[in-house]
Amino acid sequence: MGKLKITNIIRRLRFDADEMTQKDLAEKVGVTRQTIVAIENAKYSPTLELAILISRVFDKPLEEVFDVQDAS
Amino acid sequence: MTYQDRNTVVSIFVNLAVSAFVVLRLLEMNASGMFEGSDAVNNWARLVIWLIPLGIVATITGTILFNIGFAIFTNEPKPSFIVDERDKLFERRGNFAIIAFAGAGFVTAVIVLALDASALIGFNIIYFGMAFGSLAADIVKFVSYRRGY
Repeated sequence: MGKLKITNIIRRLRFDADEMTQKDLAEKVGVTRQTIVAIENAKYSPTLELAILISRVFDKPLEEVFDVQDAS
Repeated sequence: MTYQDRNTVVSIFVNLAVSAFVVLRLLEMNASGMFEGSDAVNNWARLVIWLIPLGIVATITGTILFNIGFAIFTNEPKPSFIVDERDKLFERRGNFAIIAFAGAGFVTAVIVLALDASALIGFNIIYFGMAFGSLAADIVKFVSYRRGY
């Protein structure tokens, strides 16, 4: 099994949530805006705790917000 | 720029400035003969012990000035001071660099001392191993912040 890449639909969910900004989402989950940017661009994989907090902001199940892909 | 990102930039400059000061001071002391005779290591220690408060003051001053300047230039009156999980990940990466360089410095010092080098040289190798480790840690963190991961 190759390295896994965590993808997400956070950007789309933010847009659907009255165009929530990255800063707003960051404040809601207690991280920096730059961390949200890195997560949305699939460059940084959040901890399980942060992933759950983000999912709860949008009231979506975890597996709907995040997905796992084989990076290779 | 996050709070820890700003602190990393300050730390790089402080590390470089303090290291430059130490090198210049060591060269001055060596030229004046302070490292000849039985007091050599003691004189070295009297220089190094001042680096602790010097580093603290330089870091605090640099951090305050940089954050004020950052707030002014980015027009952000209330910059963020959040430290999150990504910051902690980058901090751990930096810690590996510190351990690697400090460890290498110690081993090198032991080898050099075993080859009959003076205690002064051994202590300098250990000190600069830690100093380069700290600088390397800051560079690792700085690169991590630029990459974003």
